[in-house]
Formats: sequence, C-alpha cells, structure tokens
Amino acid sequence: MIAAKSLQFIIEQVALYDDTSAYKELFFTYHSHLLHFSYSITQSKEVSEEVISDIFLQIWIKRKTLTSIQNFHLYLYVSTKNLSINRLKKLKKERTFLLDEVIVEFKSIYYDPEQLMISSEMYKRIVNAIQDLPPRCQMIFKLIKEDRLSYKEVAELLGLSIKTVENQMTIALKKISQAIRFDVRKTISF
Amino acid sequence: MSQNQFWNLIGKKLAGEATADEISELEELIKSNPELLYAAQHIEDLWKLNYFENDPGTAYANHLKKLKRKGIPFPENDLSYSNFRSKRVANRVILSASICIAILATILLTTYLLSHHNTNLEKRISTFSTQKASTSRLILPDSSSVVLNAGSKISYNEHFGISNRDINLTGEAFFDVKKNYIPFIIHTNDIQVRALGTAFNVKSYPDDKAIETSLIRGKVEITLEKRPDVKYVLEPDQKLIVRTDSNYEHKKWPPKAPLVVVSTLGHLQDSTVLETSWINNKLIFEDEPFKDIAKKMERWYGMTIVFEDKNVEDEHLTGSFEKENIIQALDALGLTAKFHYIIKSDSITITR
Repeated sequence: MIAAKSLQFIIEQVALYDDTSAYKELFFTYHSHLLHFSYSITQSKEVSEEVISDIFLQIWIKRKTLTSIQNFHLYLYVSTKNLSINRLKKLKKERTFLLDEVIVEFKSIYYDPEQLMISSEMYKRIVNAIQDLPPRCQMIFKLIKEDRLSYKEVAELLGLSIKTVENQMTIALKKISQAIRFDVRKTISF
Repeated sequence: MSQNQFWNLIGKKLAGEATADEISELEELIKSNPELLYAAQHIEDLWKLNYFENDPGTAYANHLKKLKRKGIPFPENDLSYSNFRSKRVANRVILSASICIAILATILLTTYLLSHHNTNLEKRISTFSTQKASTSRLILPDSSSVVLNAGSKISYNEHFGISNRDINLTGEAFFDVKKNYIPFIIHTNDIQVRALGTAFNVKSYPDDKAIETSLIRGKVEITLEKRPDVKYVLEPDQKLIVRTDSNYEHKKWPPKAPLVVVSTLGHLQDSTVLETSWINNKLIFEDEPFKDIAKKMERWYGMTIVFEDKNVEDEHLTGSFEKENIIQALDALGLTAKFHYIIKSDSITITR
C-alpha cells in the first residue's frame, strides 16, 4: 500500500498534470486488492477484472476532480463494492448481494506459510479457524489486515457500526488464538 | 480476566487504532497474564505476512486497450512523476552501493582482526551465572535475550556477535534469538543446539538425568556431542529429551526407550507451556515423582531437601507454585501426599 503522503502526491500528479506514470502506479498498487475484494462479491474473475477496469476508467475520465475526494483509499473500495453489486445483479438476476454470503480469500495467509515458521499442523488449525468464521467476520478481518482499512472505513464501507467492526475483529482473533493451543501428547522415538 | 478485552486491544494495536492508554493497558494485561503472550506472538507473526501479486502488467495493458477502444485520449508522456520516480531510484542505487561498501569494509576488517587475534580468543570470556532461587534476564551483545534459571551459568567470548554466536550453558535458560546470519549455537556437556532466530528453552543441569530442549517459536537443530553427524530438527511446540544416564526411569518414558526422544510440550488448560512456566515465576509440575519435584524446589527455594523414606520419594504429585514460600509449598503438597518435614537452617528432611 502506498503511504498516505505519497498517495496524495500521486493523485495530484494525475489530477493536475495528466501524469500517466502516476496513473499507472495507482493501478499497479490497487489492482490486486480491489480485484480480490470485488471477487468476494461477484465470484467471477472475469466480471471483477471488468469492474476494476471500469473504476480506473472513471478515475481517468474524471481525473480533474480527484483532489476533491476526501478519502481516496476508502473511495476506491466503496466504488468497487457498488459496481460489483451492480454487475452481480446483472449477471445473476436472482442473486442479491448479502454480506453474510461472501467468500473471502486470504491471499497473504495462504500464500507463503513457510514464512511463519510454525508446524504444518498448527498452520492447518489456523486456516480452519479462519474458514470457520462467519463470512462477515472474515471479510472484516481481511479488510483490516490485507487492505489496511481502518475500523471506521470498514464500518462505512459495509454499512455497519464501528462497535460491530471492533467486536468482529475481537471474535476473529480470539478464534484464531484458540487454534494455537492444543493438548495432544505424542512421543516419537528415533 | 475476560479474554475479550485482551483480543480487543490486540486487534486495535495491529490495526494501528490503539491509543497510548490502550497500549499501556495491553502491556499491563500481558504482564499479569503472561500465558497469553504465546498466542499473541503467533497472531502478530500472522499479521505481518504479506502477499505479492504477480505483475498486473497484462491487466494494465488490457485496460489501456479498452481506453483506446472507447476513444478516450491517453497521452504517452513522461512527466514529473516519472522524474520523481527515477530520482528515487537513483537515490536507492547510491544507498545500495554505500551499503555494499560498508559490508565489504566490515568483512575486511573482521578478517583482519580475526587473523591477528586468533591466539587471544580464549582470554576474554564473559560469564553470567545465577545463584540458587533466583532467575536473571540479560541481553547479549547481538540483542538476543536470555533468561537464566536458578543455579545456571552461561559464558561467551569477546567475539560473540561479531564472528561467532557460541554460548556455553550449564543449567537452564530460555533463549530468544535475534535473526542473524551468524549461527547461534549453544554448547552444553552433551548436546549442541543451533538456532536461527527462535525462542526456546534448554535444560541441562549436571545432576539431572536428562537434557531437555523445548521449542516455542522458529526452528532449531540439535546434535549430540557423541554423534555429531546426526541432526534432530525441532518444530515449534516440540521438545527433545536426551538421556544422559542409561538407568533413568520415568513413568512416562516408553520402556526400553532409546537415548533420544522427541515429544510435544505440555500445555495446561490455558495456553501456558509447562516447560517454560518458570520464566513467569511459576513452578508447575504434572504427575511427577516427589523426588523430581523436590529437585526443582531445591533450585527454586535455594534449600536442600533430603528424603528419608523411599515411598514418599516416589509418590506422584501435580501442582503449581507462584508466590508461596517453602513452608506453604510443603503444606500444600502435604494435602495430597502423606509426609512430615523437619526444617533445619538450610535443609529440609522429609519423613513418613
């Protein structure tokens, strides 16, 4: 993620100077995160790629007004959410979007478990604990951990209270921590 | 204490939302509930994991094509941002170059020092030891930390942290090793433990019949002095027990067990790890013979304990001590085991 100061700078470059390299930097930084977020709603990679592309299309077309956006980071996520729901409705007329039905992928946790230096047993337990969490809880956890949204931003994005976001985070961490303890005794001889 | 508050605060801390007051509150909670540290540490490690996407270049190229298809003007220019970028890159290159030179200089200097001071290696050795009934914490020159249990001693030479990270240990210590390209190696009489950025416990008292190494985090590699070609690698929450006395018998030891056994660490109902509970000033034992517990108590309280009755010696007991003095401890044990004790100036005799 880009630090706040640099993000501001990039936005200004695009808005005031039509800077295409800055625009590219923006795309490269956010593409993956927004794609996964959109995918958890649409369940279609193709549709989500379109969504992201359309978002950035709008950013380019309306570039002159970018600097008037209060919270650009949040704006991207809100736009992605709205557009994704919109496309989902068109795609599957009978399906409406429910926060409790999203399927969340934790790329950062599934990507390189070796980094954690824990036993494969414990890793499996952690993954199971995360997947057992209610979808809404998983989504909140992911938005805070991987997408670096604040509690307030998550609340606004999902239309929840900050207290709810806080509680869900607590639940998630507590569940995961329970996966880290166990009391099986095993003895292996050499 | 409700665990909810603890995880609530951890969440805020990880998300960068915690106020200074909340951070202090969290630290206080950890101090009074150190068993939570184990899980909290793992959660923090989990949090730091990152994912790097494959190049979004293709997606971007398709995006630009789309812009073109829609007839939206998109200049192929190189503006001030790219100049900003290349300036940053240039700075990065200069920085990397200076780091390389610094490393090279350090390597040359170290080599020079080593070749001229080989014969003096033995001379300046630092030694730290604890008395009975006390633990001490210290930070090593490489920023790793050690907690020494009662009646233990470590030593290392003056090149520790520079050309070696070798430590000699007698007794018991808990190590939290900072990641470093120099291997951290602990030498005890019978085994050698090699760590790469991990947290673990080594127990090797000369009068104990077995040496134990317990791993909390990371990975360690253990070799026996007698069999240096065989390496045992421990994963977190495992421990290695090496028997030094072939006559050692323990209720839990498999019959006719070989010299070396790998087993899992004992956990209590919360996530306290049995083997490292001493660090938090708790003495915990689970279904152990009184004579073994007495040995732990000897070190814990700094008094000698002598048994006059074999049956009492062999009785198995479970319990934990934290703030009790030795009299309270013996009285507590006396509730389940049947014995009397006589206290002299620095020793205790246990009779029927």
